[in-house]
Amino acid sequence: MESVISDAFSLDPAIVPSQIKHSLSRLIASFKDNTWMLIECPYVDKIFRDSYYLYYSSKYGRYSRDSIKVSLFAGQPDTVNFRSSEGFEILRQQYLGFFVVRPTEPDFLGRNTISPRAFKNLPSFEYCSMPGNTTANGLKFEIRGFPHSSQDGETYSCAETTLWSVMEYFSNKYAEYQPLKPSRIHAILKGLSYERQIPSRGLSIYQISYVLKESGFGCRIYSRNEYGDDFFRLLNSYVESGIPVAVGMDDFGEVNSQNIGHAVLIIGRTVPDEMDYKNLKANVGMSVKQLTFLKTNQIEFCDCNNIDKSWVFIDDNHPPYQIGKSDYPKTNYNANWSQVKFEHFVVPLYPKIYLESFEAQNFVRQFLFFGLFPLEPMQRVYMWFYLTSSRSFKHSLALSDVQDDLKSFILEKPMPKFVWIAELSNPEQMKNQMRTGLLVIDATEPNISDNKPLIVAAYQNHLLFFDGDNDVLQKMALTLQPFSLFINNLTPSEQ
Amino acid sequence: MSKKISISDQMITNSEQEGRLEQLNKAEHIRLMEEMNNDLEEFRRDYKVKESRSIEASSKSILTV
Repeated sequence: MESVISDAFSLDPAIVPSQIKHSLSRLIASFKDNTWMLIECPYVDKIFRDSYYLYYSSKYGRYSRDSIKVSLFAGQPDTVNFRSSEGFEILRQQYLGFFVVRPTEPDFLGRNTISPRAFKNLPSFEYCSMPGNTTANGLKFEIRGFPHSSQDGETYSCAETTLWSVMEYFSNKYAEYQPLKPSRIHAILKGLSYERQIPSRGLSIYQISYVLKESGFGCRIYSRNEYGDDFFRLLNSYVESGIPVAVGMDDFGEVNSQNIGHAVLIIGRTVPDEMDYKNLKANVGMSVKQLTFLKTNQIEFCDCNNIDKSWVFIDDNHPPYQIGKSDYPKTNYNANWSQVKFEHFVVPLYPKIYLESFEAQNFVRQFLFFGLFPLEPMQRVYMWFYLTSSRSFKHSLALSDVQDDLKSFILEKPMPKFVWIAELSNPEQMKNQMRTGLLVIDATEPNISDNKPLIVAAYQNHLLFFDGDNDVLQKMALTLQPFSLFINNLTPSEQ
Repeated sequence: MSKKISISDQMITNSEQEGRLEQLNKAEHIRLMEEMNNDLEEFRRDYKVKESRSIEASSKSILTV
C-alpha cells in the first residue's frame, strides 16, 4: 500500500509510512486477518474530484486529480474468478466493500463503505444500513454498510463529513434525496456565511441542520442543556427509529476547555440483554403530576429508551462502526477529550413528520396515565417507543403472530406515511420477548388536543379507536393475547 | 359485482350488539379530556422554550476536529 501511494501521488517513500499512520494504517489494522485488498489506480473518485476542482486545483502546490480504490475481500480472491459467472458468485460472497485513498496527506482515507463483517473485535449490533453499488476489477458488486470518510481538513471538516455520510446514506436508500458533494455543501451555506468558506473551519449543529433542511429534511435540534435527562431518551427514540443522528460534542463550557468541538453520527446500537432490562430504572423523566399518579397507583413505568445502550458511531477520526456510550469522547480519545460531552443532536426527519419525539412520547404518557382508559394499578410496564413508516408497520403486523381480529382491525385502518409506535409489555411476558399492548400514533398530527394523534390503541383487553363517522373515541372490550410484533428499523450486523 | 369486506366493521357491529362497545363522550370523559388537554398545552409551552433555546445554543458550538 505504501509503495502504491508513493508512486501514485509522487510522494517520498520514506515519509509515507508516518503519513498514513493517522487514518489509513488504523483502518487497515482494524480488518480481520484474512482480509485481502485489491488495489486499482488511477481511480476517479467523484467526491475528491469535486474537492479538487473546488479547491485543490487552485493551489500552487501540485495535487493529483486521481485517487486509488481499494476493494476488500474475505480471503484471497482468485484472479480467474473475475472473468467467469461462476467465479463472480464466489467473489460476491467474499466481497466486503471498498475504500478510496485520495492525495490529501496526511488524511488519505477517502469515502468508503465497508461491511461490519470486515472488522475484527466488533460486538454484534443493529444499525442503519444501505445497499451500495460499486465495482472492482470490472465487476459490479453490492455492499451493505454505512458510508464513512475521514476529513481532508481543508474542504471537509468533521461536520461536512457527517453531512456527506447522512446524505450518501439517504440518497442510496430513497430516490427523493440527492448525495451531497463538498461544493454543494458550500453553495448551500453561502447565504449564511459572512467570511470565506474554504479552507473549512467547521460547522455548527445549526448549520448542519440548515444544510439537511435544504436537502429535503424537516430537521429537529435538541440540546442537552435544555432537555436534561430526556436528552438521551430522545436520542434513543430516534436511533430505534432507524434514523442516523448527527451529534455535536464539545468542551466549550468547561473550565479547562481544550476548545474541542466534534461532529459524529450515531447509526445504531448494540442489542440490550436481560440485565439491561433488569437494571432499567422505573418512572424516570416524569413530571410531578405523572410521578404522583404512578406512585399513588403503585405503577412502575419503564421506558426502554432509558436503557444505557452502547451506540454505533460513524466518526471521521476513527474506522467506521465505533462502539461507545455517552462517555464516548473519553473512551475513544486521549486525555485532552476528557471533558468533551454530547451537547446537541440534529435529527433529519421526513418533512411531513410534524409530531416529534418529545411531544409524541409525552402524549402517550398522558394518554396512559390520565386519559380515558388509564393504566391499571399495581403493575410494572415496559414501553418501547419509535417511529416507523406505516408501510413497514403494516407489513410486519400482517406477518406477525398478532391475533387475527386485532391484526385485521389495525390493518384496515387508514394511516399516514409515518406513525409513532408504543409497544407495551409486563415483566412476565417480556421474558418471552412478548408484548401485551400497542399504541399507534399519527406522526403527521401536531395538534395533540382531544386525543387527535391517536389512531388505535390496544391494551388491558380493550381496543380504543375513533369512530370514523362522528369522531368519538370508542372503547371495545376484546380479549388480547400476547404477541411478538417487532418492527425492527435497524439491520443486524453480520459478523 | 364487487363485495365490501371489512372485518373491523363486523367487529364493531358485533361488539355493539353484545354490549362490548362504549362511546367515550359522556360528561366525565369530556372533563378528563379537557384536563389532559390543559396538561398537554402546559407541556407544549415548556417544549417551545426548550426548542428555541436548543436552536440558539446549537449555533454557538463550532465542530471542527
